[in-house]
Amino acid sequence: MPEPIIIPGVEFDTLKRIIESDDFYFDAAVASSPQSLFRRILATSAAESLAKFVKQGPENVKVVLDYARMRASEVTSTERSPQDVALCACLIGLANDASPEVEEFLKSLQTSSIGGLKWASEIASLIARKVRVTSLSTRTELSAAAIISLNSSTARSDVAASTFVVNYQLNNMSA
Amino acid sequence: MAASRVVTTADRELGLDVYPEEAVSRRRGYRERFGKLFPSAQLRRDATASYNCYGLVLAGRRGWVRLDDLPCILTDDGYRLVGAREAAQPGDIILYKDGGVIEHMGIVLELRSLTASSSLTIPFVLSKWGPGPEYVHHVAHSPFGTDYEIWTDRPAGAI
Repeated sequence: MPEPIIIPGVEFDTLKRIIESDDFYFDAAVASSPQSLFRRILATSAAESLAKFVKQGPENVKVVLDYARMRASEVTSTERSPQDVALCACLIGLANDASPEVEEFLKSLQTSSIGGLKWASEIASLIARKVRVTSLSTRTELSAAAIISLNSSTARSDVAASTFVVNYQLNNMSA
Repeated sequence: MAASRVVTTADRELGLDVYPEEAVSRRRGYRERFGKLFPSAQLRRDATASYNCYGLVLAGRRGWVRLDDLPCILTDDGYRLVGAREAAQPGDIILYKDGGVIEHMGIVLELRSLTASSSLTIPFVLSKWGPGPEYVHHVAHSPFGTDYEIWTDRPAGAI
């Protein structure tokens, strides 16, 4: 089966709507460290789609990079915001692209003193330090299942709860 | 952002951050989002950015306790990890981790039986979810996963 042809800007519009959504922000906002924010975003289907989109070619890298630059220039608040989280998602999508433009953008974020870019700055630092999460731990997978839902209204707590009960019983049996 | 003076039992000073409140619509959004994802969690107090989960447990809801200060607080205030053969008790602290790093904290309110015929009990926890609301929830029904430790300031061997 031939690979689908992705027209720059079309699929990305869908991704933009997801990463700009309040729900995406709410799910990310509970992170208490940059590492946790990184993992939470990485576990989303939006981050996976962004990474795939970027891999399609330099035109797509430019689309995401231009959007990220625009987000960064729009941040005016001193606290974290949905714009900041959307920007973080783009950075994570771009994390494996080594083009000079991306590197330069990451550097500019790392040195930014704008309060509203605090998370983006820290995520950029993590990426620059070559932090790569190539496989999710079991715990993170569970956490992701419990936390991140972009399109489903189904309660995710059942998944974590079921697994918890099994683990809890196993732990008590072995104690 | 302002700072108040807070000290541990050993008189080590901690930073306590205070952030401005978020818009009403966003505060309502947290409640709706988490209510949908974790319907069994019982809303205890509405969303506010004025304190975090650590501030709830360790500073009486007076501000955001910094993640970096937690090891020092736990040590100075006499907390210890509850052993594998020791049961959690109301008042103990649940400390959630993500990738080995502290991610979240709550207080054990009560222990409930897993089923009517089971002797296994599950901790139910009061915790605040980021800048969102406070909830009373099953220890595994939250955005913070199931990797957690139980800490206590009870003397070892105390009931």
